[in-house]
Amino acid sequence: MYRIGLEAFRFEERDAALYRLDPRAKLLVAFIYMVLTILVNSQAIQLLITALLLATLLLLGRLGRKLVKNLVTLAPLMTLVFLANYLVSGDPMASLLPTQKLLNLVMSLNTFFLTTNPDDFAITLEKMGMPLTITLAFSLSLRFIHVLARVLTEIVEAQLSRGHRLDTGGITTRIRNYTAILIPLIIISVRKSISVAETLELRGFREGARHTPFTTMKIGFWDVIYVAASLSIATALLIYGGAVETALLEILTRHLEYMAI
Amino acid sequence: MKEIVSIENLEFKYLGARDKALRGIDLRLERGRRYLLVGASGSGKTTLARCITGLIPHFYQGEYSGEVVVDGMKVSETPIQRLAETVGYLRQNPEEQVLMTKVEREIAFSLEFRGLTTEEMERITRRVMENLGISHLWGRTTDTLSGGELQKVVIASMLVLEPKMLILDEPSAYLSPMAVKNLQSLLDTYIPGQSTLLVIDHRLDYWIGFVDTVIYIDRGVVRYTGSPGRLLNLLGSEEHRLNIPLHIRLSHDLKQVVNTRGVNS
Ligand SMILES: Nc1ncnc2c1ncn2[C@@H]1O[C@H](COP(=O)(O)OP(=O)(O)O)[C@@H](O)[C@H]1O
Ligand SMILES: [Mg+2]
Repeated sequence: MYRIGLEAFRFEERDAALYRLDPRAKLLVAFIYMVLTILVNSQAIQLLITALLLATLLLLGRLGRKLVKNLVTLAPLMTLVFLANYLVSGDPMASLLPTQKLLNLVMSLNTFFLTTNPDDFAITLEKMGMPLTITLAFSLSLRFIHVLARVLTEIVEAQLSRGHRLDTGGITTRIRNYTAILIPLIIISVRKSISVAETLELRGFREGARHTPFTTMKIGFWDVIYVAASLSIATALLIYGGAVETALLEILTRHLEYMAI
Repeated sequence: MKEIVSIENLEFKYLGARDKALRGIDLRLERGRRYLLVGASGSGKTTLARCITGLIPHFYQGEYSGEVVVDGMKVSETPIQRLAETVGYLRQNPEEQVLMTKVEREIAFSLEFRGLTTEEMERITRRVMENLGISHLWGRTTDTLSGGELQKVVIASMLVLEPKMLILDEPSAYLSPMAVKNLQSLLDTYIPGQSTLLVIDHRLDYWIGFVDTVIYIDRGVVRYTGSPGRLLNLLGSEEHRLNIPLHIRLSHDLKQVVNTRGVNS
């Protein structure tokens, strides 16, 4: 479970259009969609945004299975958001809006993070003027998520095989059970981070050193198309939101009527 | 200068440790030779490697005395980054030595700090990968590699700096016997003759035909330096003793040899 949870957010190499786009273009588009999601308060248009993001992720990113895992992992959180809103407002339809927004925010981020390898993310940040120390910290932590996930799995398995039970007994027993997992995890993480620091030194990294990234990035034709298309859609939805909503609702109602007959 | 490494009366105690990890090491390593450093677990092999690479005293703190000179540079006064251009150090866990997601970026990482152009970096990286027979790994993600592939990638990432010396810390710990053989033929064909090699391993049987000199360290003290042949004689030269139990019996046997015959260098 915990392993699946972390795997669902991890970058995996794949041969698809979205993976070949420039990270800067992807970051910009993710940002455009996030702003759009936050600004729009119409549920119909949020639905349209979901459809657009789905199309992007499925058609350009071929991310079907990964996306399912990703959303399944987030399902409890989305349910929680829905229930909390429902308790406050008492209106199930209205409570759906924050959940939709959360879904669209996550999917916007996915168009970037699931399709951009941590190294390229670091270079993107560096190009935007961030110091190397910080960008390296970013890419190394992203890379080490899966190392730590594996360590965690190993520790849990080891403790379980020694007869430890995680969720039995009273509160004190439970706390003790979790410490048996947490302490080794912390120790191993610290050891690994020391080891990484050692590696950085041995590889010639020095704070404030002059740095020429090995990978160069170039904005290409398709990057421009990707950004332009997303930007136009977002602008259109913001300006003609009302008209689009009416049209969408009309189509939806007609569809529903048709199904009712 | 014949020696690449010369160590005089080196002592080191880790910060917070009770005992010294190294207690008066005197050692000279000549250029172009292959050394095997053996000794029981905890005897100070890794600590000695850290002293040569500058991790001690620059990264690990503690009580340090004596002098280590590498290729004419006093280690205690030379930054690790500068020493890394002379000595490549493959540590015990290759997985923890990978910084990047893509293989080629991992290998080129050290070059990114040397003011080279992208073209120069790419040329060097391609050449080293070709030499190590791992050109096909270009574009791969580092965490999908096998143990042997990962090790080659880490070795490549040191070779781009063209170090004069290579230290491998317990490579057999995470490699199959077959993979150790592969590693040896790789070192045979690729490492230039004038390069110095220091292999740390407790599997004497794996390396004895491969190295020129064996160094035996026991609880922070060098007890034996000499040819593997002479070591075999001292140990009683029967071939079968070199098989499986040897790496376990090694330190026991050596201790006896050293004690009864008082061998030193
Ligand atoms: N970072 C450290 N801090 C404190 N003590 C250490 C550290 N690393 C090693 N030691 C101690 O130094 C001694 C020598 O260790 P090491 O050089 O790793 O031995 P070997 O590599 O031969 O197994 C051991 O007693 C070990 O516990
Ligand atoms: Mg060691």
